[in-house]
Amino acid sequence: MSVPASTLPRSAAPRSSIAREFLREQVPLIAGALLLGVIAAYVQHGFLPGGERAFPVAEVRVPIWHLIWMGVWTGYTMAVVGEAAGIFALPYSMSILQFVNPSVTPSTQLLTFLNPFGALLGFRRSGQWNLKFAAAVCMGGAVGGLIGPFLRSGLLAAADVFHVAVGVALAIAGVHLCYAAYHAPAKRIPVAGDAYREKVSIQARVSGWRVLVSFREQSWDLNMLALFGVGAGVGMFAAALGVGGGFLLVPIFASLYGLPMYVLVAATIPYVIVLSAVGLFTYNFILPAFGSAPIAPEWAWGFFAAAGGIFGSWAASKTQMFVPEHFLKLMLGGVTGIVGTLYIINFFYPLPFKL
Amino acid sequence: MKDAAINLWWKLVPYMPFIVLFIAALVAVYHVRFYW
Repeated sequence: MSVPASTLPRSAAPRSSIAREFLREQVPLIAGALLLGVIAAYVQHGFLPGGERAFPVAEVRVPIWHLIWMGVWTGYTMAVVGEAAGIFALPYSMSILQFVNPSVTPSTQLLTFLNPFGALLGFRRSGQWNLKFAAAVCMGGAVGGLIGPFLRSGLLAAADVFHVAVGVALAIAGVHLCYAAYHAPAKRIPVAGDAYREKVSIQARVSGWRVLVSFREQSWDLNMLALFGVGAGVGMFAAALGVGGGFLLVPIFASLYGLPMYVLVAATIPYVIVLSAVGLFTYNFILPAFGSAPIAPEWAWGFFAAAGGIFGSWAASKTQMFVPEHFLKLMLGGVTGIVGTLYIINFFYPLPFKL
Repeated sequence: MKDAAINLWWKLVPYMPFIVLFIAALVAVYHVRFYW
């Protein structure tokens, strides 16, 4: 499980470059999210909620440090196994923090919108970035982000039905993580410093309705209409729940197209950002334009959680290759699958404890 | 001294997700105990 000490990056150059990258790229993002959280609280409520005074929209008392911590641990652990924080932060907000009204959806969507920026900068720096590859699936995500909130305000409006839908999503994520634990490609042991020095590059060439994605000696020929359809389908479900969609998109890309993790993140991370942005816009502006009541997020909640999430996902992008993914995926998959199953069972046979 | 601390840090990195999850469980229990 441990990595030989001699393989770990310990030369001065990578360390100082990580510190510089953190100070230049991450600290401004984290500070910005914290500042926006404070501003949003005063603009939305006229005071700063927290452990003493309840968040008026969420209707719960939660210390601000706990929201930041929620972002850190969900962002870190889920990014290490290639998922987004939302699929963990949503049930944690509902079951532990007791944020159970419909506003939990756009509030978590704000976290899933801001959270990937830390990882996006990290992956872009390492060359895992190609907008031609990401374009079709992101356009699908935008369509899904427009439709999903209408499902939330209609079909999934009741709390118990919403819990079942979250349970299904968690069960899918749990099965995927457990499956991935046994079918992950062999991990190359990194040599000193290469995680920060080696530049990879994902290429994409568009030809008609197809896009040819290539990385080193491997290539994948993908139909952009199919990518659009997958993006729209996943986006509808994800925006209705308030998560980023990575829990569905990652297994689809990995199993149907055989894309490895270091390639598919070039599409899934921009996808989560686009889907979440459109979903948030729809919850606030498109829903009321079509006669439905808007579902306002607890903005400060989302910003504070995102501040932690940005740091967590960035830290994961720097340490991912040194972590024993097998055990972690198995453990996270097990926990996620059990919680999802409990949500579903609770709908049919109420459990003797609060979920 | 500084190098020893850095080496210890890198040795802890593989265990970090498990440490983080353990702390998350403790914080969740704390919240349930004092805020529910």
